[in-house]
Amino acid sequence: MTDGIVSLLLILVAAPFIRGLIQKAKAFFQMRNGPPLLQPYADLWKLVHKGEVIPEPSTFLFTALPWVNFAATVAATTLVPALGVGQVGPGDAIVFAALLALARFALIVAAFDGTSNFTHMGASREMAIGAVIEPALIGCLAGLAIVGGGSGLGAIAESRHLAGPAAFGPAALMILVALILVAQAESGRVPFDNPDTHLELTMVHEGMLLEHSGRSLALLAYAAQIKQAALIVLTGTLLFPVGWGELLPAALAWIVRVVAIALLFACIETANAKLRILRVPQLLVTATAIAGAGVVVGVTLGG
Amino acid sequence: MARAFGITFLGLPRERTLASGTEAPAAVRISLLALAGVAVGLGLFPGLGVRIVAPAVEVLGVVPLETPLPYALIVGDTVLDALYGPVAVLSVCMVVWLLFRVMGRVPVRRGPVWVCGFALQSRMQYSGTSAGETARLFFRSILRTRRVAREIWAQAPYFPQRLSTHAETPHPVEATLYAPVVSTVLRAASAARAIQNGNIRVYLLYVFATLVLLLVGTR
Repeated sequence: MTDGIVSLLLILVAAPFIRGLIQKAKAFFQMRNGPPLLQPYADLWKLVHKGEVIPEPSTFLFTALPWVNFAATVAATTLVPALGVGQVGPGDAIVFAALLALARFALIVAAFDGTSNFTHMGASREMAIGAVIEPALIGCLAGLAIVGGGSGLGAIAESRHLAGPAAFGPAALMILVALILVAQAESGRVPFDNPDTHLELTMVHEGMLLEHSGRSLALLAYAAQIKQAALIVLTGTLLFPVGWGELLPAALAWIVRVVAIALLFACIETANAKLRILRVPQLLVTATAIAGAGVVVGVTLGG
Repeated sequence: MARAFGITFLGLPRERTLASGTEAPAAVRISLLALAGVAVGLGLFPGLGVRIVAPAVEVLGVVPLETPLPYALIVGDTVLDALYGPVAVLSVCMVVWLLFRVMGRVPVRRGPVWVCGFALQSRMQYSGTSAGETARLFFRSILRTRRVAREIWAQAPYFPQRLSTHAETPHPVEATLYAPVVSTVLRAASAARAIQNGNIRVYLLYVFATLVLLLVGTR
């Protein structure tokens, strides 16, 4: 439990930093200076102190649903084990996926309430992408649960930790590759979505936020950062189940894992252009298929 | 679900006639709210619903699931285990509310919607079809929607005079699985109708024929 609370706080505090780190690394690969590492914190601070403008035709849902989006994202984050196996909440992988789905639902409805054609377009795309991401995410987590035993994310992490080198059997590796793809898609990174642009041809998540401002926007932006951090941490914990027990090595391992995956994301983003939106499902269905094949291998051969 | 709710209730009215819509009378709203309340209640306490149907299930020889909490389906020991999602969401909201209180109020006002400098019109709003269009394109190889666009050109291909499209999504399960069964049953039924044609003299003939058959049979 204490482990879990420390993990949760770490994710909440580090979430903007991880976003800044990816941006900085991308800028480095593109021979730019890029914004400072701590820029996302400054942005959030600015938004929280700004006044809010609500579109004239909107209802109360427009300002209420960002709270639901944020709260559901944080609630899902409480289920992510980071330092060791500790997780705060008593939920399993299904609850994790369901809370992320609730957050997505709140975001889409808030976008429909935004009344702009841009928010509607973002909502339409997010619904379509969500319909492909969610099976992929559940496929990955269910696969790891079947291979590792136990459906809680903490239990999955523990079983992988205890398995030692056997944790890197073919089944687990296939599922983890799929999980990296899903983590990218869920956190709206290139090649699925581009978090750095407001160009209507490419945007999904940013389109939905277009009418929000002030504290609502701060909540939505922070929620997106937290979701990305939680998925990176989850992928890292399941990918490299090492360095648990004492607090210091655990924290060190945590930092190394998060930085490594953030840099991996930056490399992938630099090397790839954003996919045409109609190609997105192909990549995600591939991820689901890899995870499914991993489950079949795991069930028939073990590990 | 997001699409159904968002298109129905949010944004500008999609058609001109809808702008003059009024709220339904209280009785209609109360009955809908009651149903919604039952749905939420069953979602939070699924065990209650299971208890209602448990006797019927036991008759079939299935032993209902035993859980430590009578109102929950999740195998957990405390109320928190069963209601973790809602409790967590509400408590995070409380914390954020407190934080914002400490930081002080910020001005909130209403303003126009940004649509690239144009005035917002209801025809800019996504309709049910357009909101589902991305998903339809994603699954186009499964759905196999046929669409026909009819254009009447003032000057092809730049200035259309009239445009109309018609799209139709076939239902493969219905067409390949249900339709043969239904048509077989209907054909058998229409064959049976030839015997059962409603003519009283023919029915008397049936009675007579049956009588003859019985007499022949008993002899």
